[in-house]
Amino acid sequence: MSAVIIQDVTKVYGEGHTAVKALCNASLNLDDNEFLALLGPSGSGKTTLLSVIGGLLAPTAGTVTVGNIILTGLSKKEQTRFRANRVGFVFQGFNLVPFLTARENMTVMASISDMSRVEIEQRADQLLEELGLTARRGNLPEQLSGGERQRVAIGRALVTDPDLILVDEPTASLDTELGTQVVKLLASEIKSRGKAGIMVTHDLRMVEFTDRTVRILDGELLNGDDSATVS
Amino acid sequence: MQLAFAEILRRRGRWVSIIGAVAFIVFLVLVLAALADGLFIGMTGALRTGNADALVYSRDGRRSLVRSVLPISDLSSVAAVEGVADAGALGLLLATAATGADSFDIAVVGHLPEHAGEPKRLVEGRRPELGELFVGLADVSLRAEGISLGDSVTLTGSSEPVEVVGFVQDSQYLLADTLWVSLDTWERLRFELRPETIGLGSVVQAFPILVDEGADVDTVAAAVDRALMTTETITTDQAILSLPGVEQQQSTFTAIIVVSFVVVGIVIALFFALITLEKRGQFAILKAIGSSNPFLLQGLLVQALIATAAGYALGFGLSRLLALALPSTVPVAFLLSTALSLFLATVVMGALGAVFSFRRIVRIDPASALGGEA
Repeated sequence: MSAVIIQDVTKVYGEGHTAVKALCNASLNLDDNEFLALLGPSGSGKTTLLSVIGGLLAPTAGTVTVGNIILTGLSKKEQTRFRANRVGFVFQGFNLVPFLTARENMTVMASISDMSRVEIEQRADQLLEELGLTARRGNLPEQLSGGERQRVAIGRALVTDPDLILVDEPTASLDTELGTQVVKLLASEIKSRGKAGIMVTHDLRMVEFTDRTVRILDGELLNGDDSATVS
Repeated sequence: MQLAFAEILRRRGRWVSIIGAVAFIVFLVLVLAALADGLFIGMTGALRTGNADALVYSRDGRRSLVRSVLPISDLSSVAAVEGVADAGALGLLLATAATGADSFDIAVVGHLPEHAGEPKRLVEGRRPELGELFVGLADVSLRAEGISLGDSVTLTGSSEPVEVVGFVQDSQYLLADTLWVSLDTWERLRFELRPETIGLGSVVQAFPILVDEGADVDTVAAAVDRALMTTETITTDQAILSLPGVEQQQSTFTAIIVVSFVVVGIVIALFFALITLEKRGQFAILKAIGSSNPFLLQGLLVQALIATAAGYALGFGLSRLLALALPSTVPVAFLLSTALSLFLATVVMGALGAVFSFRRIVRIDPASALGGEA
């Protein structure tokens, strides 16, 4: 079953002479238990596509369906709720809340999502163990290494048991070895849970850990809708 | 909540600075308010202590207790007006008294015992018996002049000392100590001290009145003036504001206090504006992962509440310390009601300051969390 269906999505920024087409008739299907790499140079539209799929941006035209939710036409409030409950984000850099401990960075989702605090706390403890962070659960981000911070970020993305994990340049601020470890870990966490995942990257070395690679250039998916394969 | 508390606990340095800034402004405001209250109380006690609803002045006295002169014979006409439940009399004699080598200003107030205008708050001793001459009630402020129960106060120019048989509270007149005596005693003292007024006969400065229960004070006041033709009757509140300097003093202090509160709001607003700017990326991330604007506003308000409440508590403590150190001659009054209303004002200004920053947070685009912009 398709976890994400993108049909003829176009996104235009600005109007008239200043209009910039960031996405052009993009179509893409993503199945459950599939981890996809979105590969493209800077300014190619990959972040815009990720934003549209994550309910952060509304497309100018076309439809985006995640699970059974059609994102097109959702109000801002509904978009917020969708992001809190159905999507897990792993951002570029680490982007943890600096004054929350590793565990609190995960349990903060109890105040944001619809899941109960008890359930979130149980899941957070389980994830901390799986990610090898139990001993570091009470540490603030500044006391964690780069790899540990990224693992906390992965834990935060998974703690609400979302349908879809969106990953933005996870290796941008990590060295090759650490970057590889993090992407491998991401791939294994996503696959072991049977989730759908999309990773935006421009690092060709990382695509080997994904199921499929889709290239994007000037807002067009080069091998998108037909699910054509790898780099 | 979790976010709001954790940030304050783990980023103590910056929060201590904002709490300190609020504390100093609150301290300033509380001291100013205590001075304003102290001055107001000290200046207006004589008019408030009698619990009168209104005061009858002579029209040519133009609402001034010292300028107003009313023949005591008019009292029965005032008492007879419909709606007047009780009428008393107030006579004012500004004099000098001496205890040993020191002399001090004193306001001798003549009144009709057991009638409107009589000082109500007896804190020590007894009230003079009806018809008892040259005994009186002293304001507690006279204790600072060394006067105790049973002592006699001799007015400069008078041969008859007045024995203090009781102390009353909150009955000063324009910050002067007061001595409350019966109208008979007062008249004898007046004739002795101001022989030039003997020709005026039995006169007083005002008739304090109580109106019937449920009667409208303004309506009764107008009825008194219609009946007597030569009077101007005003409510006690109006009479208080007509005392020289009281209204001006109140408005000056109020202006300073209001400006200080605006400063509290601006300080909090600037502080939150700065941290909002600094946390822009963090807010973008929080919004991207599903934090709603009301959730973020709640956190902001909780932080503003903590900062202002803690600042207030500290400022309050400092003002109490100052109160202990101030000499008793400084007219300050730290009133619970003032402290509570200033607390509310501080918290409200803090919340307004925080809300001002919230507008910026609302404008942060959650999409900016992606692409390494945050």
